[in-house]
Amino acid sequence: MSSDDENEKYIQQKLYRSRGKCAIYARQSDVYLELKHKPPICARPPVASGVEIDSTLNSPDIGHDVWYLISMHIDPEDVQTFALICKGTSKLVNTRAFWRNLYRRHCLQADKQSCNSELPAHLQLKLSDNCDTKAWRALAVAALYYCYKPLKTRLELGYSMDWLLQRTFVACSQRHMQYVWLTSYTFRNNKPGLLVDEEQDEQVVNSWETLADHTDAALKLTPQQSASPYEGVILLLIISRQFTPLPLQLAYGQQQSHFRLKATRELLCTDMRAKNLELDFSELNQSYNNLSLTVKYARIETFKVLPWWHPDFKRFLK
Amino acid sequence: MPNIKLQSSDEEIFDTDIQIAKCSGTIRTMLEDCGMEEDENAIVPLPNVNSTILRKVLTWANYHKDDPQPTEDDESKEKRTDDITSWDADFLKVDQGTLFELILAANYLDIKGLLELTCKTVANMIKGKTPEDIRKTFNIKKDFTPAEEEQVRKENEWCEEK
Repeated sequence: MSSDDENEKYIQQKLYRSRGKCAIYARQSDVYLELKHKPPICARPPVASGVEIDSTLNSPDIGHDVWYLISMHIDPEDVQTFALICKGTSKLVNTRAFWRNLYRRHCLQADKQSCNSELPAHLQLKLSDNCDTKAWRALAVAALYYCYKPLKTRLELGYSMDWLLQRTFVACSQRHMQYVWLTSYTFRNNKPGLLVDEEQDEQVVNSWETLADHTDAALKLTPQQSASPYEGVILLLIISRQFTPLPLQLAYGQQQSHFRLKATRELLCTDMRAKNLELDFSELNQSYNNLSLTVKYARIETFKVLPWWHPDFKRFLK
Repeated sequence: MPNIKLQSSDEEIFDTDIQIAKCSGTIRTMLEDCGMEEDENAIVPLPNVNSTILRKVLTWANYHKDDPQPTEDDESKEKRTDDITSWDADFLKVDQGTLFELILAANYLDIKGLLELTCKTVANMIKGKTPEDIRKTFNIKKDFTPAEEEQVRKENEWCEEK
């Protein structure tokens, strides 16, 4: 008896035992089955087992479980790098478990499980039990800057003007305090994907349907509304003795467009006793006659950049 | 000291000191709950750990048998990544495949010390490297679109150093 006959007999037996639910059957030659290999979280080329050519090549697929366990041991300063490895790691960073673990490891004292005297009331653990992931992230990040030494050191060193570049202008205000003027600029992050969208917007297409599809895709890229209203916001505080009027043009751009901070310059005064500060803004819209604006502050006392996670941020946010 | 038999997924039997085996929370629970402690011929099946990895795990457990058991409080303690002893560092000079299997085995066997050690080792491999370097080290394919990558970067800009 050939193997084909055996197969046919086997299939017939199976079908006859199936209580007549299937009257016809396909012969083996009629059916072609192909195994579909689903890529794991981080798709990688298959590695031959048992071959130790190089330790970096002899690694199995790093599954979700392994990444999860590793994520629980990542230091705060390595979170961005970890999230940028692959989609799997970025998903892990976007979980409550990740942020709770980071908070518990670094912001709770060993003997106390629910509070830390170093933290202000709004960053205590008991208030965060019903938070969603984004709120947890905002809370954990702000708390880490109070408790985690390497991040505290960064606060002491201060933030450079580079943090403000390419951010969108939101508002500015001014206050007179005894002998000085405090000017406060509020900036926010550009929407992720904006740079890519700009390039695509310049392309000429034949059908409007392509543009409609593009709009849909762009909407998908827009991140969900952040649970923390301040996430992505950065303040620039300028303290000077001289009064400089607010650049109101920034608030009234053409066609309701926004301005982006393009460049900053710190220039030493001719008497070398003070600094001048210049801020270059450019309009964000797609037209070819983009408006540029330079705001100049003469003889400033000092300036400070306060990102949303800075402990002093809320004190100066208007 | 009484011994206990552990059976790996490839059916190799490891005759092990019961105290060493008990550093695993999983084995300890099995012994206590199933009353296997008194039975000299009882075999503890460990279907998720192969013999190569189980041998490594038992070597580690034997070296650390006198270490104090980690308490619940220790779990929330700040986990440092730079306090690995030289013996442990030498022990983990293995290929990446073995290292990741050790992580899974330590998790399955509930050996906190080994899990900490192996995860710390990988966390140290990530430290100071760019995502591209890490992908190269672990042979991972980049699966982000530029927009997604930018979004992840922005979401986690708080830990950037400029």
